[in-house]
Amino acid sequence: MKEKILIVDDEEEIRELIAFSIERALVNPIVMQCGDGQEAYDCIQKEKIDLLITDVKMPKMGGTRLVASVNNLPAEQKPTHMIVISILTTPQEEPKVINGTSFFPKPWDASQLETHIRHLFGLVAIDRPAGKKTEIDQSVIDVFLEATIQVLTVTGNISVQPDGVFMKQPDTVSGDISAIIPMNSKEYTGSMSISFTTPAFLELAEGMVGGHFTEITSDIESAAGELCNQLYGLVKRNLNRVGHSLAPAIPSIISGPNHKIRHLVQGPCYTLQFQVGAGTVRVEVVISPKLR
Amino acid sequence: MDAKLIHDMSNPLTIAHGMIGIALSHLESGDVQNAVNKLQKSILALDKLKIILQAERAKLPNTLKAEV
Repeated sequence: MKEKILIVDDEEEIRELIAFSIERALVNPIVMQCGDGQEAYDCIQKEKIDLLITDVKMPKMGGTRLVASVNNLPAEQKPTHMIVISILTTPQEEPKVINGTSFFPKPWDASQLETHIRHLFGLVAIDRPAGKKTEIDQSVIDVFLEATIQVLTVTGNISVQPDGVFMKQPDTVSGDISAIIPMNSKEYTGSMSISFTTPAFLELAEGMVGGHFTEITSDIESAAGELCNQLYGLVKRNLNRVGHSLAPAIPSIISGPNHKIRHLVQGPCYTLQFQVGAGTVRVEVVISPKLR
Repeated sequence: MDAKLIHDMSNPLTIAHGMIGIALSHLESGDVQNAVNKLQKSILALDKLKIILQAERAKLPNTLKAEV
């Protein structure tokens, strides 16, 4: 989902600050800007806005009148969420929510605003080591989930049981054989890996190439890269259909009992776990927004 | 202090504070050029705040000016 955000403030620099917070808070949002309330009101009548963020004191039409006017619009035209940023409250106060509209003080706490925006859109914030925050939209996780089931079921010719999505703790073992692939788009950078325990990999390899295997040998290691390639290809196709811009990439294979994966960027590691036969398959995704 | 003065001072203060925050983020990701650009914007905002404060100071009676 690409959230449409409209920022209304007569100061260009203030709009720039709010836009920066929005781009940190959400994945790939559409950010629009207006310099006064009248311009914003005209814009809202033309297209559905997911979040309106407005100043109070502005030329032509102020924020208070803008919110009142917007509240009189039919429900399908009203922005889903509204935030008013004003100097009317003191910086120490928590944001207030009155009749569905949130009120933030000016100057505002950027991290508080980012957390609030994420909360409005049902996103979970995860602390990153550098103190920044990031998150992946649930719809993106769903794309990985569905693609993994499809690739393992069709290519590996085996039944797959999803076993949960969780945040991987640092220094956790990924598996006995893995393939990792970089994920680069205009908006973010990162990597995706798929890891197999030995029993899961051997069953998949048997399904893919036939025969019977008792250990992971160099003859069948390339199957991990092939599965990773197919998974990334499917994820890329499905995400790019909804506005992402993932670039083609080539996977690398890592093997060794109980190895750990070091991803290409720092950040929370979303792990999708599946039960495959007597073993486990884990797909790990780490992305970090690119700063502009 | 009147509402207009609070508003006039609030915006440059918000900009200066916010731009420093963005500059720190750029520095964390190694983007020094953008960090410097944002710091320059914060300086411009502080200059604007200084002009507002000087104008307010000029309105004070002469006896108080020496103390402010």
